[in-house]
Amino acid sequence: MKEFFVAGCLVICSCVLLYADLSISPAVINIVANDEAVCESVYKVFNTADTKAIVKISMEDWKNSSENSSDVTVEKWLNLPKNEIEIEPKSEAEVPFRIETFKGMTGSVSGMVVFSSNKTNMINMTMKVPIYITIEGTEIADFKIDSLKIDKGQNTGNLSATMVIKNDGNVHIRHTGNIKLYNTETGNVVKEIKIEESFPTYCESSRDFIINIASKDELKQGFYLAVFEVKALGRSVHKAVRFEVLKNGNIEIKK
Amino acid sequence: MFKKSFVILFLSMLSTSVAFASNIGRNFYGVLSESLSGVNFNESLHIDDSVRFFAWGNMGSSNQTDNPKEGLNYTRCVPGNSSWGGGGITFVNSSNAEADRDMSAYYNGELRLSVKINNSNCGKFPVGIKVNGINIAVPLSNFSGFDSSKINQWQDISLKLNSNTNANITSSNMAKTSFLLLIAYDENVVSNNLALDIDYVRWVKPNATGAFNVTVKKVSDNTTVNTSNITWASSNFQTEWKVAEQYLVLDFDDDSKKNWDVKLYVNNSSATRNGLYAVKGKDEFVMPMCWRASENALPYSDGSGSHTTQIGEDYDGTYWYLYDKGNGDKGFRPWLYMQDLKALKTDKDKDYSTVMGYKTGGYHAYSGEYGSISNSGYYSGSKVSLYLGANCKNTIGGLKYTGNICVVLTYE
Repeated sequence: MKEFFVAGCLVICSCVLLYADLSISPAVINIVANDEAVCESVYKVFNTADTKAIVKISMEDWKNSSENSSDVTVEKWLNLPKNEIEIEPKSEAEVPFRIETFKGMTGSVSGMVVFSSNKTNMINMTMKVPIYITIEGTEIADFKIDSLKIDKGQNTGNLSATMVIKNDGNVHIRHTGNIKLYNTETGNVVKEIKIEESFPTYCESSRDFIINIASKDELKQGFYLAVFEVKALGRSVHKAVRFEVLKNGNIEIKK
Repeated sequence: MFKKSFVILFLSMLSTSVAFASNIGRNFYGVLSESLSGVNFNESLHIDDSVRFFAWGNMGSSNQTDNPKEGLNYTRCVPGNSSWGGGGITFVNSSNAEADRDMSAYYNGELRLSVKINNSNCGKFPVGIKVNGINIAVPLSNFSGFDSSKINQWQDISLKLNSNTNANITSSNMAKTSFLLLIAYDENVVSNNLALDIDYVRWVKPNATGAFNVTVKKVSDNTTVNTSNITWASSNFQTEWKVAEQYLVLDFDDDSKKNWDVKLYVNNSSATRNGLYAVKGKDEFVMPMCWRASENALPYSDGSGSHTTQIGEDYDGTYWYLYDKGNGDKGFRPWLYMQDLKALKTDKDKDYSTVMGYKTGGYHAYSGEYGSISNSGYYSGSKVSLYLGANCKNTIGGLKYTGNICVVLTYE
């Protein structure tokens, strides 16, 4: 059998730009609502490029609390009337959506709205933006700092903490907080570090967070206590870790 | 029998936008930042325009590293003993002299920065910009968000860039901007004990929202190309790991979101289709792929050695791994194996496929944990060059290899 080569064929797509240089607002939607509530709004999608964009819109399940884990799919509470839009260069388009909770819903549900290039392209560019729904009056806030570890970075020599947040509640949390670093020999606070809001910890799950504690050689040899305070949903939890900075700069965790 | 002369790999590819041909097109323009592209004075990443720190009078400035607001560095400004002085970050020309750029697109936008003061009197520090030859500096206490009682704590402050702030901040004057940040002092703040720390300085366009920009460039000369394909040279037929002829620049143009990441994988509906594949009858042929995120266009050199487009592969007794063959150090392993979505089951798998993202404290390429970002530090910018490689050793002539390569930005 003779095989023919696709010699020299660099197939240049004649299609217009399908996805690049987009801005979507809002990036995150959080809604606290009763069951049987309705919310209607729009996404604003801005094409910052010089060429027309064709964007497909779809939805995906994301993180539900266990009350809704098996049967409450995103299609049951979210409606996206448009599944494709064309946006002229340097122009904005609106993508309407409608959220409708239903009777008896409890806990939380969430979904991703997906803005994506045409699948016929072999490189697919996608932006996913979440919608989180909490059913008012049914939320359970139950979280803790599950573990703490202090490490010295191999490359940088900086000290960082790995904090594991365990969320046993039925809504996601976005914590903030602070760390007070004490020199246990003097009792003085040598440093306070703000914990900024970042990724959520989803309901009934755990997540690691890495926090910079000190730059290389910032802490002198000695014994320290780091007290972590984490706040979310009107609650705060604490946990502490003792450690020693050794002469060589390494860290040893103390009980 | 197959005739084996060359193979062309077809990947439909995005055509590119040159909407932001220069940094000045950015929504968020980094001035002193390790996460935003821009001029980035004194911080090493993405120095895309020429600036320098000018000082006059006796104002001192020094780079600091302990507890920065963002990235690894910040700048401390200390007034001298004379009755006036100042300094700031200005555009420069090829002779390193103060020069103007057109920053009028930022009219009605904001100058945002983080400051840390050691004394409440630091609120008297005049801070601002210089446009059309006019120094415009207002007391720090007039900045939105400033709190003089916050001593030795970082605080985020901003100044509106319009004529309500100062009659000389006009669009036409901003078309001739030299100092992106100006710090002046006079007899009101002269003190040996005052220090003003500044970090995360950026210019923000009015109503700016985050954008995700993708550009395709040629590996050979780093020029932007309008192509629909990613290709491998025919000379790579039946050779081992080779870099593609094009690479992507992924640019997350935002300063406020701290809950995002960009993942890269193929979605070919099979965990074993970890790259490009071709089907012929009942037979399936897979050409494994790899990728690498880099702070800068390859090749380049820094303190950790050479960063090249050459890809090597070896076995350490437990795992196969990829390394930078041009670097010479097999411990430098910036190339990662491409995974199919079906293979991404655990959080660790997903981290492995993360090109860039945010972790508390700054932007961070997760892949840096595996060595793909250079050894210069923990932080990468929100802009990375993404190189693709493929193992062409077993390519079959005459087949069309294809794959669904996904670049996915997810907010959480």
